[in-house]
Amino acid sequence: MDYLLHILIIILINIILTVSFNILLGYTGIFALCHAAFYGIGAYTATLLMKNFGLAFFPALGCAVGLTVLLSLIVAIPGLRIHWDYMVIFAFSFQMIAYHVMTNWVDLTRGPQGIAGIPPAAIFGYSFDSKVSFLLLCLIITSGVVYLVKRIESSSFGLVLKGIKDDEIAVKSVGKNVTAYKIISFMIAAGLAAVAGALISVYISYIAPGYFDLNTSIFILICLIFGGMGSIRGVILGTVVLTALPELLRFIPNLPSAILGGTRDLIYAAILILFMLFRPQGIVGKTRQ
Amino acid sequence: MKGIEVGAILMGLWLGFLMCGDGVSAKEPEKYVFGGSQALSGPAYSVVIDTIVKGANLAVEEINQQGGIGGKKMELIWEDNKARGPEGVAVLNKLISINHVPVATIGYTAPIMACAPIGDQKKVLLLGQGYGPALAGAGKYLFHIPANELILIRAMLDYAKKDLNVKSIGLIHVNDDMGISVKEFLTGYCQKIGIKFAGSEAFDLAAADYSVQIEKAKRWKADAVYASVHVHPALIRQSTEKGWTPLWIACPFTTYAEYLTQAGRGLNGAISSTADVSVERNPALIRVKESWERKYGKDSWPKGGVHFLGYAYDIPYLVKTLAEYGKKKGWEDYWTGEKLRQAILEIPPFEGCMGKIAFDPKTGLSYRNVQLFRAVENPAQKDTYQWSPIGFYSYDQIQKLD
Amino acid sequence: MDLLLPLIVDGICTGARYAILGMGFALIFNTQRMFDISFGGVYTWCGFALWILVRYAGLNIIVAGVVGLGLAFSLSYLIQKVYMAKMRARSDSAVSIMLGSMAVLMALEAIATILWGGGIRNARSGDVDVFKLGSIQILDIKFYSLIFAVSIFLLFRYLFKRTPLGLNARAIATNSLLSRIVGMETEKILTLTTCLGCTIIALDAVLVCADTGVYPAIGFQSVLIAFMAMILGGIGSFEGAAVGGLMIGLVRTVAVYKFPTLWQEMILFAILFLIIAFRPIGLFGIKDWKSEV
Repeated sequence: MDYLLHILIIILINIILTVSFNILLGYTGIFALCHAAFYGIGAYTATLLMKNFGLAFFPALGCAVGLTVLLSLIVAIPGLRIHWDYMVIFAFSFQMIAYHVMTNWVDLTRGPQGIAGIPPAAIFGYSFDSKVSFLLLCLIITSGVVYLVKRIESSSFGLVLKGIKDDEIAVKSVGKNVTAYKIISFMIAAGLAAVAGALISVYISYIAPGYFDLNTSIFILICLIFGGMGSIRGVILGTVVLTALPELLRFIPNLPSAILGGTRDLIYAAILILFMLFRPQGIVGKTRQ
Repeated sequence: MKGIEVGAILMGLWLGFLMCGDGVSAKEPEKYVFGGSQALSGPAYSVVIDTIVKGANLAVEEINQQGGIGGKKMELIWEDNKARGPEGVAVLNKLISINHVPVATIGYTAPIMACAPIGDQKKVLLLGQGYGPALAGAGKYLFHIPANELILIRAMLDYAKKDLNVKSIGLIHVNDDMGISVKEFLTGYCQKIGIKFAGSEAFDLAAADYSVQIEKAKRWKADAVYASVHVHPALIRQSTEKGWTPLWIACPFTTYAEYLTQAGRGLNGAISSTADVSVERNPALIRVKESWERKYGKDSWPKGGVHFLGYAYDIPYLVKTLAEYGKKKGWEDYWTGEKLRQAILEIPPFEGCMGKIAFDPKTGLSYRNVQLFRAVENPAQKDTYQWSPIGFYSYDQIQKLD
Repeated sequence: MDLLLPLIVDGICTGARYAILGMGFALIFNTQRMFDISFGGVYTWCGFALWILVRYAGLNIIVAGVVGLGLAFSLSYLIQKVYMAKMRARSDSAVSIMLGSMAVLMALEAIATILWGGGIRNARSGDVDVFKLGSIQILDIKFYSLIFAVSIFLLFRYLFKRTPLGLNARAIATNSLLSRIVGMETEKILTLTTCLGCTIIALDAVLVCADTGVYPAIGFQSVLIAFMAMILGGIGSFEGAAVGGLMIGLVRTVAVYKFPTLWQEMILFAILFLIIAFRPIGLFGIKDWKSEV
């Protein structure tokens, strides 16, 4: 059961990441490939607060969200003037800067050695140290996040965001402050990523910079595109499939260990290749009008 | 898309079906299954890993040919942890939940560190294959098979100080957990034994160009340079090309065959050390070699880096020893992590293929005999080099080196 | 000061390599206007091809290099015809095309891992030539990188300005729809320029294999650098990409003069970040460049 529980927990944490990234790319159309950086900043902040200052989980989470939201302004504000094509590299630079700070500021983060012994999440004396209890915690938090994002999607705020993606100038001409909307969508997305960061820290009880690198950002992107950008159902579905897929591939029998890894990567890539060719809008996406 | 949603649900059901039941059966098992987790893909994967997997598999096959444990067969299941923490956790969970293993061997620091708490919680004995100083004492159920780099450094520096009159040493290392913990250890240890620490330079695991680091390191003018590298013979080669040929003191990865060829003449005169692989002291290795060549073909025996093979080969035999110890003691649940751990703390020093191994109960580190090498030019073939043994430290000698 | 000079020389040579990558990608992107990163897979394969040709077929390294480039051209042509062209026809979403080409890159790297393992492969071992410039030593390969970069720069500037192919490519880059209306075979020209771009990029793979060696994941690394070089230089500018690559090489290497080596990557990204923040179209970028999500 533990294996299944582990996969479910990881899926739930990943859903927080992809659903929040959807706000940026799916709704507002900002290709900010630095989501793993927000994830990592949230994780390290929460971890350091819990380990070095003895903060409990929820206060640490709150602070982590606050700091990450603040730091996201570093990308959000200059990002306003930057065109879509350049945004990729701009956010990517931020991602790499964050990663290198995590890796090289050894005095603060212990660098590649990572931080071990993170205490489990606890509230009012109750400790979520079993997989089942932690799964329930994640279920509650993830549902909350998904509900929040759904409300955003169907609200007038969400409509404006989608409008910005389709035609920014039109939205401006209607009198909406596009700048404010973009910044707020950044802040929300980053804050939610930080929540995921706090969760993964207390779950695995050991974090290292390698969890929050470019590959993770790319994974989040792939889940989004695979599932169908802009649709919460699609994004969740994409996340579930792509998180579970590598685990399923473990059950292919009798592969010689020398080619085990490469073969699984190849199957993964092949699925993506075919999917992009025959269904580029994602599982749930609509074809462009 | 209804179809895909149904598909996803079916997939979830299948996954759940596969995972019925959990926990390790404490009774007499039908088969002795244990787990292996290594970096079978990704940038950390190398030929060395291949040797490790094959070495362990060979031992399992031999044990089964000789009747297994009490007549029942042994099985080792390998999984890919990609040298990453979350993957390592997923893999260990899979091995515990689905394959019900009471003991598993794990390679690479990140998976080991991430899995250490799981070993403690689920009471699964973990046999780490890592070398980094930071691993020591990371978990109560975690024990380390290879001679930790801490131990090897002590032996090499002792030799360098006494026999080569080295007074200052610099460090070039990979910017990963092992490299950084080596740096932390080395700076402190040098001070302790009276060698000047000249400075350190680091590079990324995936880096291929070291010109900058070399330029800076040249200016230390240190007597010797410790190279904590994995598979970066190009570092040595580039140093030589830039006209810098210090005395290299290199970590055990450099004793792998291809390394000397690719590193070139810059490595001439370098020092390295590994667990003791001399066949005179360890006649078991001859038998292992014959067995290996029978299974994998003549000429397939690795030319250097034999210690990796030895570490891996020892693991199934160690597991067998622990199980048999428990059985003899009459423990009903001898094939559980808890009892296997008790066994590892109680057994006398384990007779491995590279000599005796004693496990330190506090840190889980293994104390073993260590051999020192010097790279010399091959007399038969000019411009090629080989590792020539120059020294030996028994494990009690090393413990005294503090 | 005595450290600075070799660092600058080294930076220029590294920058030359990055300029090659940038120019190749600029060629691909300027005509396609899509982020087709499948050239990363071609890069890996070309590097391994050189290794195989030299180590196993015993070819002379220069001959092997030329053959390798030919293989790179063919492979990229195959990728374009079999997959990328179809992708472009079915979807004009930039993200889908990027992901599709990334999947091709991943597949090629995975196949390389299966066939040849994850280790570093080198086409040369033993001693190499070193050119001396006063007290500075330049490895032969690094010197050749510089020569190649400059040659490609001049060659393609000529190509763009004088030859029909170049003019057509520029036309498509500026206005694809109009070009099609006017009757240009955009798809053919696009494929050709993409393959040329991939071949230029593969040249760097040849150089790297002969110098420090290649490994399966190296293709993706080349994508990152090519991307950064092109964006820094400014989208739409071929020359800009070359300058961008040169700058990246220089900054990365010279930064360690004052700062610890560990921070060299971060300094590079920080400078890139600041430059784009203050000059969002890159150093030589063309304004009003459009692209769709």
